[in-house]
This record gives sequence, C-alpha cells and structure tokens, in this order.
Amino acid sequence: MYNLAWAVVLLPLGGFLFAFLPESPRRAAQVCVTFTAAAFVMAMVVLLYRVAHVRDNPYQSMVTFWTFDPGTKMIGGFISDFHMQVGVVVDGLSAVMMAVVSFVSLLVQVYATGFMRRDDGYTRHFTTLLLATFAMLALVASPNLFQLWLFWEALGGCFFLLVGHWWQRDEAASAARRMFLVTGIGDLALLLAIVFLYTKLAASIALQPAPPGQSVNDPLNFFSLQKEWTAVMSGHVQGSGPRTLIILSLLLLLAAMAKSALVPLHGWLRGVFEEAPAPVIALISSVTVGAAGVFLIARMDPLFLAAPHVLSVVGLFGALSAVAGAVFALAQSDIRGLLAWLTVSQFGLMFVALGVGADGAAIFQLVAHAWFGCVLVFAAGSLVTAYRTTDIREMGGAWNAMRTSSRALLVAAASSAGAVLLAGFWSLSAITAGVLRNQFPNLGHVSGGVKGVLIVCVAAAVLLGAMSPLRMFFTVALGELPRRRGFQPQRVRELGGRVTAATTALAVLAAIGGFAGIPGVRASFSNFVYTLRPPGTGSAVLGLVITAVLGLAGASLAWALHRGALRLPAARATALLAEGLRVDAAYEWVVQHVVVRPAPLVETVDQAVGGNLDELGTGVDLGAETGRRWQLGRIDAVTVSALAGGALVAGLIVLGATGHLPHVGATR
Amino acid sequence: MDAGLDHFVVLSALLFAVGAFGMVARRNLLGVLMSAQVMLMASAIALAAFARFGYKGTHPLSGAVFALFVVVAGAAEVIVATSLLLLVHRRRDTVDVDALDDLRG
Repeated sequence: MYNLAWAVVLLPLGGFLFAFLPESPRRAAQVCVTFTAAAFVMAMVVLLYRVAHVRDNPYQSMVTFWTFDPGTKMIGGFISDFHMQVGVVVDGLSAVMMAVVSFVSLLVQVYATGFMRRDDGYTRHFTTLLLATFAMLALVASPNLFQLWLFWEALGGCFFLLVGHWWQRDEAASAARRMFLVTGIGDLALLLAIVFLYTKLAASIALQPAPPGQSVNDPLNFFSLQKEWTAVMSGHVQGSGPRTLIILSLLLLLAAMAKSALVPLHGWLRGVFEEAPAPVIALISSVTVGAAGVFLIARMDPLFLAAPHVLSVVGLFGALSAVAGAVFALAQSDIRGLLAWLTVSQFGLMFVALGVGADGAAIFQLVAHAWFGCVLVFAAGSLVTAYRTTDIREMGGAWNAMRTSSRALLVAAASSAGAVLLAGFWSLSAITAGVLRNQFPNLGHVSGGVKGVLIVCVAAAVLLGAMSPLRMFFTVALGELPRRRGFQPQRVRELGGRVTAATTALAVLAAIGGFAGIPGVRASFSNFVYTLRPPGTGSAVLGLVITAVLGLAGASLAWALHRGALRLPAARATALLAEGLRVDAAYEWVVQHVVVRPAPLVETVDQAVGGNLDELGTGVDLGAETGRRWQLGRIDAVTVSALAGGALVAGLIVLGATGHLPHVGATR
Repeated sequence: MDAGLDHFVVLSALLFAVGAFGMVARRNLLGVLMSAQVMLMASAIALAAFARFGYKGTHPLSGAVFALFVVVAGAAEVIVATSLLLLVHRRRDTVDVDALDDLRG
C-alpha cells in the first residue's frame, strides 16, 4: 500500500507531460485536474492506510541513481560514500502533507478553471501549477536532504513562472524576480547547510549499519541523521560538536525563514499578492512555498531539539512575524496587503509552535491555514474581480450580491480568528497550549524569559489577527454599497459554478476540519504526525479557554471598528504601518547602493569578454560560409559524391575482410 | 563456352558503370531516372547470379529473394519518381536537371 506514494508523487508529473497533448486549453486543464484528483485519491489511500497502521516504522522506498564509492577522486579532492538517491518516505508527517498538498492543489485548479477563463496563458498556467504540485509532493515525500533541496529549488523555479504569469506587466515580472531572489537567499543557506553537514558527518554516518531494507547508508537520509545528532551532541563524532549543530540549524532556519516569508525576509510576499493570479496566491500562501519552510524545520526537528538555543531563536523570529503581521494587517485597507500580512502572521505562529517543540501543533496550524487561508484568497479573488478594485472601503453589500463567496469569507475569517469550534480555533489553541506547556519531546524547554515573550506575542497575535479578517468581512459583506463613478453595483456577481464550488468545499473544511486535531486528546492529529513521541497533553484546556476569549475579544473589537465606535490611531502612524515600517524601502536603498551602482563595472568586464566571443562567432560564420559553397544542389555532383563514398566504404570493407587493414580481422 | 559466375559479375559491374555514367551525364530528368533503374538492375543481376551459382557448394535462396525485392523496390521507385517528374514538369515547364538547383547552399 505504501508503494502508492510513488504514484502520488509521479502522477502530477505525468499529468504535466500529458497536458501538452490536447490542442484545446480546456482539455489541457481537464487533464491537469484529472491527474491531480488521481494523486489526491492515492494520497488519501496512503494516509488512511497509515492511520490504520499507525505504529509502523516509517516506510522508505528509494532508487539509487549513482554511488560514489569511498575515496572516489573528484576535481579538487576526494568524495566519500555519497549515494545519489531519490525516493519516497511515508510517515505521519509526509502522509498528511501529501494528502493536504494534493487536495488543496486540486481545488486551486478547479477554482482556476473558472477564474482564469479567457486568459491567454490558460494551458501554461495549468501545466505550471501541476509542475509546482509535483515539486511540492516530491519535497514532502523526500527521504533525504538531497532530494528535498532539489525540489526546494524546483519549487522556486515553478513559482517564478507562476507569479510572473502576466509577465507583460513590468510589476508582475518584478514581483516574480523579487520572490525568486529573496527566497534564493534561503536556497543558498540550505545548500550551504547540506554541504557543511556532508563534510562534517558523512564519514561518521557511513560507519553506521544500513537501515533495514536498504543496501546502502545514505549520509543525507533523515533517519540516518536522526541517530547522528545525539552522537554529535555527546561528542562521539570526531571533529564536530554542539557548535556544528548550532551552525547547521541556523542555516536551516535562514532557509526556512526566506521560504516562509518571515520578517525580515517577508518583502517578496506583498508583491506576489499584488501581481500573481488568485489561484497562484492561494497555492503559494497555503501549501507550497510558505509551507516548505515550516516543513523543513518540522522534518529536521531532531536536529533542532539537539540545539535547543536555536529553537528559542526560531520561536522569537516566529513571534516577531506573528505580531508584526497582525499589526500591519490591521492598518491595511488594500485587500491584497491585508491578506499578505495575515499570511506572514500565520506562518509566524507556526514558527512559534516549532520553537516550543510543539511540532504537531505547527503542522496542524499549517493544515488549518491551508483551508481558511485558501478560502480567504479565493473569496478575495472573486471580490476583486467583481468590484474591480482592491480597496475594501470601496466594496460593500457582498452578503446579498455574492452569496456563496461572502458566506465562505465569513467562515474563513471566523476560522482564522479562532472562533469556537471552527478549524482555526483548534489549531490556534494547540499552539497556545504548546507555548504554555513549553516542553520539548526530549524534555527540554525554552528559558523562562523567552517563554514569557512568546506567551505575550502569541496572545497579541491571536487578538490582533482576529480583528483584520473579520473587519474585512464586515466592511465587504455588510457595509454600504459603494458609490463610484462608472461603477454599476448590479453587475457584482459570482464568477461561476466552479469558482464557488471550490470555495465552498474548502470553506466546509475550514469550518469542520478542526475536529481531527482537538488538543489534549490522545488520538488526535499531532500525535499521528509524530507517532513515535510521547504526546504532550498538558495545558490543553487553558489553551482552549485563552484562544476562545482572545478570539471573541478580537471579533468584538473588529465589530466596534466597523461600527465606528473605535478608531485606529492617528492617520500618520497607520500610513507608516501600512508600508510595513518601510522595511521594503530600506531594502530598495541597499539594493540601489550595493548592487545597482557597481553594476556598470560588470558591464565593462562583459564588454571585454564579449568582444572575444564576438570574434569567435565571426570565425564560425566564416567557416559555415565556406562549407556552404560545397553544397551545389546538382544531381550529378550528389551522384558522384555518393558513388565515391560508396566506393570508399566498399574498398575498406574488402581490405578489412582480406586482412589488409591493421587492427581489423576477417570475421570468417 | 558456358557462362560462369565471373561473366555475370562483370556484366553487373559494367551495367552499374553505365548507369552511374548516365546518372551523372544525362541532362534530362527522365534519363537520370532510367540510369538509376539500370544501376538497380545491375545489382539485381549480381544478386541473382550469386544465388544461382552458390557459395562454397551452398545455394542460398536469399540472393534470389533479394533480387526480387530489388525489382519490386525499383518498380515502386519508378512510380513515385515519374509522378514527381510530372509535377516538376507541370510547375517549371522543364525537366532539365541543371535548372533544378533549389538545394544549392
């Protein structure tokens, strides 16, 4: 059964190739949706089988492409014992992630069939979506860091194409570039971490016995590494110690922060929300690029548990993003900026959960956010198209004009705000409980001061994060109908059946999906994701109560803001907040002075090199011109040359067969 | 004097040379085609002769079969080539190979 995981990963790739066969873009989209649906069904089978066999060891299936024997000589030195393997692994984490990724991708594609109708790049959009899905599925199913890095990069490439879907607009192209470059910092950090890990630990891991069912011991395999960390920590590995672990985990943290758009590497997310098509935003902010960062830390968490000080750093960066995102979202009146900051805040909360060792809660928040975050983006996409504006102050009356979208928006906003019994409530309270409990699976914990900061930040993030989505809903759905010149309110309507169907399906999950992970219950989500861990159950009730109270308080504050009973602070402060405290402007300045100014120097070098290259090109041109003259285009010339060639070959054969050529013997 | 294998092989070689010369020297496209046929048939004669006179006492049938194939392939070639020739004539109003140098580089 576990072998079906291969199908889950490879079906989207097959669909990507198949989708180029049909001529009609509509058919191509159908192929894409069908293949994703098949992948989702397979993923569900794998997940259910895993649930039924929850005590199994992680299942691994690998294909080794190439093996470097110990002491293979490479340029610049020796390479020891490296096995280039790709494969799939099924444990609680990857089973859940595969199901969620394929499901969300399926609904995103269904949404896109309606949303991208009449778009010129219809086929391109769908095939690239499918390729991105393949990359993410292969990433979550990776058994080793090598494959994870491979698809980490592939994911960046796919989303460069997707974000730049409307590349004819300069802003879209620039947003895609910005995203690619900023997340590229993370890619570089991950590569550095892998190289560092390999040079430090490969020799030691190669000495370990190979895992059962495997012929080789891959030094980058997660399960080999897992056993290695404790050995490193206790000083049993020569040449590495606690400092190795700290450097490694800091590099991985940097990689994860760039992918998950955490402050201060969040700059690319705003551009994506402003320029990318809605389906791409939904995918990017729920289960792909942003989730990849969280997934990386969740997957490598044995390393982080061995370096507990870095876990505090993870938590503090998460808390910074959670609070900053929630505050900045509140100051936004642009629906795209609001959702972008809300996403930053959500990913910040996940990092807080990772930082206190509540990895299950982080993954549960990731899944719940995949549902309600997608609905928020779906509904926002429909609203922006219907109202032809991105300013929520110019929308209104959607409750009657767009019945499905506005109700889905209500569910998602309430879920995001932690309204009692909705999905977001359970996940947020799992995080709150995790921070209050403050206990790693290996019985470590973050220090008291850090814990205090985290508690305050999570509380602030939950309270403030509840306000902005609900306030947006109140304005958009219950507010006055907008009066603008040239705007006809009666033309505000839904985008069609497939758009509303996808939105509704996810909204239902955002409402009831949380019952899978009620914190404190033994047979719950987090205990399934990390099966072989003692479940932490303390502080669950307190977490539930705090989240419920904060969520309700946030909702009432949002209502007060909407009714005008409460006002945000002075306009200038709000404007500053809306710009995200000018962090992006600071980056612009740095880029301007560090990159743009010295750039002409590079051009000079380029000219010098380019001149020589030009001469080379002229040489090739001349040669081609000479050769061309031999082509006479006459039958007699062709015949003579064919006969001459034939005579030559025949002569050689005769000479060879009679033994007159050296090194060629007669065969008879 | 009986005709032996040598005679047939020499005949085949001579015919092939005639065909090759015609192929190069003829200006008329129809003539070029006929020369190609002569070359084909020269090779068919060689094949049939080897089949008839055998090799070291064996008489392999494949030579005869090959000869038959060559004849059939030649017939097919004639059909295709004459239709092409007709088309060339209809479009260009000429069958002079010197005028047909579209493949000139």
